Formats: sequence, C-alpha cells, structure tokens
Amino acid sequence: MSCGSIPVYDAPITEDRVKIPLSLFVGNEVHIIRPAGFPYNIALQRKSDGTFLALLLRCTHADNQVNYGGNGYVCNLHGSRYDAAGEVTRGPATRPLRKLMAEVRDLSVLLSLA
Amino acid sequence: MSQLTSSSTTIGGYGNAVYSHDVNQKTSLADLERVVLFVGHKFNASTTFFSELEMEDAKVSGGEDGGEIAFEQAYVKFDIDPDHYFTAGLFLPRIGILNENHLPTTFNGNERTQVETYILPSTWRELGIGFYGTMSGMPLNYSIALVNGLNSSTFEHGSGIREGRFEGRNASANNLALTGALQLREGDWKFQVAGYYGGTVAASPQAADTLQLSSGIFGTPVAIGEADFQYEHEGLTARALGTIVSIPDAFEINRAYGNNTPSREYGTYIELAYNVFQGCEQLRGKQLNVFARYERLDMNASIPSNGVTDGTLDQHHLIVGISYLPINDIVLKADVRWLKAGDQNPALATGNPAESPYDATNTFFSLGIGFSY
Repeated sequence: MSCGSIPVYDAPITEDRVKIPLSLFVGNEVHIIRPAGFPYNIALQRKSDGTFLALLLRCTHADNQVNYGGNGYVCNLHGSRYDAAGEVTRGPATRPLRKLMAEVRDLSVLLSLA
Repeated sequence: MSQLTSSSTTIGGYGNAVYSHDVNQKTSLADLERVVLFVGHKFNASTTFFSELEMEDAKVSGGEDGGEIAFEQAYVKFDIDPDHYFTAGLFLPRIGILNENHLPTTFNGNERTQVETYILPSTWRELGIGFYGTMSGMPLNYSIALVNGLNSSTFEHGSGIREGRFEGRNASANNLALTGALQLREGDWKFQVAGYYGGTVAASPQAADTLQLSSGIFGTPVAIGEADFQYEHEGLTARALGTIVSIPDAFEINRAYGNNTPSREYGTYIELAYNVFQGCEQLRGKQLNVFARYERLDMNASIPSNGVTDGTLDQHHLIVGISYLPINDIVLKADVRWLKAGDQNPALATGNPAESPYDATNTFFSLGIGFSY
C-alpha cells in the first residue's frame, strides 16, 4: 500500500453504479473512491493478477466509517483494524470488510452499490 | 444501494475482571472491574446514535461504597460526508491513547496506564459538540470539540484533575473547554498531538467573586498538552506518550477549597511489546504478547506557595507482563508492577495503625481476563 498521500477519486453514481477510469491505476496502489452522496468511501486496489479488490469502508462492528491508515484500515470508534485485504486484525469487529463487485469493462472499473 | 447503507441497531460491549495483590499491605482484591454495553442505532445513512453504559464493581447497593453505573458515551453522530462528521451529546474527547480506545483487548496490563488514569483522567467524557474530519487524500485526522469544563472545587489531592470531571451529570455550563487533536498515520506509525483548555469554576459569578476566583467560560483554567506515538510491525508494538497539565491559578483554588491542587503535573510512559506467536502459522489468530512499560508521573511537579508537597505523588512504575489472546476478543493477562515513589511528607501521614508503615517502594501482582464484542 502507498504511504503518505492517498489518491482520492470522486465519482457520480449512475443506476447504483460507480465508474472509475482504468487509467487512474499506474501500479497496484489503493484509491479511495468517494461516490457522490454516499455515506461510505470505498477502497479500490488493483491486484497483481489484474483484478480489483473493492472494500466498503463501513466498520462491521457498529457501522462507523473506516479510514485508511496503518497499512490497512482503522475504525476510530472502538479501534477495530483491518488489513489491506479487509480481514480483521484487531477487534471488536469480527467480520471482514464487505467486498463489492468490481467489474472491468470498456477501460473502466464498475462498482455495484446495489 | 439500500443494503450497504441500511438502518441497523448494533449491540456490543466489553469488560474485565481482575485479581490483584498488594505486597506491602499484604492484601488481595478480586473485582469485576467493569462490564460495558454498547448500543448503537443507525437512523439513516447520515445519522447514528452511539452509547456505552458501564457498570463498575458488579454491584451498586444503596449506602455501600463501591460500584458505579454510568454512561460512558451517549451521543448522536451527524455525517456530512464519509470524511467529516459532527457529534453532540456525551462523548470522549480525543486526548491520549486510551481515552477513545480503551477496550481491555487493546492494551497490555490489567490496569490502564497510571499516566492515563491520574494525569489524563481516562475515561474522560463530557457533554458538548465535536467536529471530526479526515484530510482529503491524506492519512491525517483532525478534531475539535467544545465541552463543559471541569469543577476545581472537587479536585482531590492525589488524583490530579480526575475528580473534577462532571461525566454528563448536572455539569456546570458556565465554564467550558476547547479540545482538539491531530492524528497522522504513516505506514506502521500513528502520531497524535492534542490539547485542552477549559475553565474550572462551576460556581455562579457572585459565588466565584466571594471565593476570589476568576469565573466565566475559561476562568481559573486548566491547560493540557499531549503527544503520543504508536508503532506496530510484524508482532512488535511500541507506544509512548507524554503529557503536561498546567493549572496556573492553583494558588487561588487552594485558597478557596483547600484541596492541595498542584500548579503543574506531568506524566510520560513508553511501552514495548512483542507477539511471540508472530509468524507461527499453527498459531495464526492467537497472540501471546510479552511487554514491558515504564511510567513516570508527578502529580505535584509544581505546587503553589499554599500547597503541601507530597513525595508519594512523584512516581516511577515498571510493569512487566504477558497478554494472551486466544482469539482477538478475549485476553488473559498477568503482570507485575513495581512502584518507586518519593518520601512521604510526615504532615500527610494518616497514622492509621491498621496500615503498614509507608514504604516508597511496593510491588503489585495482577491476573485478569478481558473481553470485547
């Protein structure tokens, strides 16, 4: 994961979907996607096999927003932590971050918010 | 979309029980220190209620010492967007390491740190409003809050500002406090700086004048500065914190209330821990953390001319122990704490024949269990 600044992309929502240009991804860095008017950000990362991992940044303990940090994701409410793959590394959360469907189509990554 | 942002009610909590032995006094204590229940409700995509209700010492019985039932938090969170929100109600200001995140599964040792018990009075909750944000594109969090102030008339010798907290009950809102913090996460590191400035006169202006105390929003102030870092990498964790509390009008407080308030106190600690199960695939998901922590605090680092020096408040602590987590949410703890304090002021000796004579050094053994869910 990248250190320091994190690329952020603001995206409109069309028919419960968000479209992110593939050209944003130079390597396998994480991008924080901010769907317009949506209460949670999404962490989108291209994996080494070319597929994408999209994690809904909603804490699975008490639904608080989760922030990128510490080489993973952190919830400031009760201290739950997740690794880069969204797996819990520190409770009280017990369930991993929810993975969203990410489909590559026509030079874009489509995320379904349905 | 509704599935991802749906309304919900969540229930969680934490608690711990401890056995501790005081070597000097030759006494042992077993206590269900606390059980806390979280209840949260998400009304809609942008409005959530959070609460924590705590019971200490298992039982509250009329007329008997010990035990407490109290709300640790009860506030509404209003989301502006995923990176910015307001809070309103009873909440924990962001200061120190433990004040916001104090689950027993997240810190080593049966006791919370001495520094964050007696210098920073965790868990410290007050009523007010707060604003929290994350810088766009950077792992930098910031927060600012306006809460009710402390009550200097209830400061107690030997516990710093701890007894001056209102904790949501009938708080004086004549005096208020501002608190703010910056947090930076960079790779395996987390840094924080935080500050607090608040008035401590809960009395009416007329009563304050009679007591010759400066009243008003920031009258007879307490100022606190705090900085800390945390580091975590492949089983190795490190924490360090330093804090200073300044009470410039301590002379006036002592004159009014006779509670031996210091004009300055400070505390600092450093802790190293290592998960000896790190890298062992067969023990994946379990942790055995071996730790050592050194704490230094002085609750009367500087006292006004009408104060009384108490060397017993000038303390060094060394805590060594283990924390075993068979799963993330259960912890078994064992530790030894060595205390070295300053000399006792004979004027402050209790003269209680039932107590062992004062010894500047002491040792405490503790065993405990904690959980969170």
